[in-house]
Amino acid sequence: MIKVRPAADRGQADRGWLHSRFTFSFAEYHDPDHMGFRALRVINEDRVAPGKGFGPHAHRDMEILTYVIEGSLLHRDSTGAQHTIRPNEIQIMSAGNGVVHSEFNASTTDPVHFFQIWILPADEDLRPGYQQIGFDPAEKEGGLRLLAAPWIKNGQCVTIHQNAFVYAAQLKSGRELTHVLDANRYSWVQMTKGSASVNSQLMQEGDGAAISEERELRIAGAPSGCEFLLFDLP
Amino acid sequence: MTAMTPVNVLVIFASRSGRTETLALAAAVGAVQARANIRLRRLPGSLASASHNEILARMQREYVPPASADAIWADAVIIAVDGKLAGVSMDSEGATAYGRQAAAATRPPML
Repeated sequence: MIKVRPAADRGQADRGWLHSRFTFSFAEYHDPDHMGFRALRVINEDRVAPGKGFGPHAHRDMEILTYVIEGSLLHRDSTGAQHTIRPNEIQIMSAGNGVVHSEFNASTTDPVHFFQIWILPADEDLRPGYQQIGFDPAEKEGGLRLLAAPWIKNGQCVTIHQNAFVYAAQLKSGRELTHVLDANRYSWVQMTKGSASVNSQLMQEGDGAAISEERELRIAGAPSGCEFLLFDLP
Repeated sequence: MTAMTPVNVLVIFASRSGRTETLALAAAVGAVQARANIRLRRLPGSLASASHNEILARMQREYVPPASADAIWADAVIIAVDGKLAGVSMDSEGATAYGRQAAAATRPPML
């Protein structure tokens, strides 16, 4: 079963310097029918004006992934981490028993466009942590590039405190890929650029899809191509 | 009122070099560890020495000054000035322990 969450139906906030689209309930946007999917709690698509951002605020018991589409984002947190995240990188902050962090557009001239994803950890009160890796964009072309997993695979992804796997992929026109879901596994596909079909179900840019009781996903890029994130969830 | 109602902890600090900011952040983390909601507010108007201009500019960008709405929101207030937290010199670990204890000792709000 594939249930599409159309981009236009998402919650939204517009504060001038910040344009946000909320796939699931977040902050002032609350819809009891859209509180998350399995361990996935938040998918926010944010566009932040040059030099603007979110001042220091707290998180607890959440695995927070940041994936930049365009621009650069400066992250500082109370674990002492300070990094700039750019496209073709993945950052995870494990909030654990408490972390305070800020995020600002690292550029004073260009906007930043990114997705922020919250996944519930398997355990509470973990030690806070921070990881960031980069990868060659060719690695996501035509196939799934693993970004996050419960364990480090060849040192090439970040670890997440949940039995969840996060992938990125880019498909040019006519390209197709498949992903096999084990029994009792679920998936969410988030289209970040362009459009595609997932088991013949059409998805446009910004759409999400909750996938249950499917054993194989066949994803085919539209003529204009596509990029997406795929979550393999317990 | 339930035992799970989180308390609201307001952390106000004055900082030019970032040293007192570090204490304030550590105290805020402690409050979060005690499952409190937090707000961090920086007192404006501190003059920077030339060597701290970059840090000051960052803090001016990242923080807003305290407002009356923050005081109304808060169940507890922690103040850090001149490299001291609540008037006491301590390191970050001590500040986190202080924030944790302050939040845990605060009576949850009546709802």
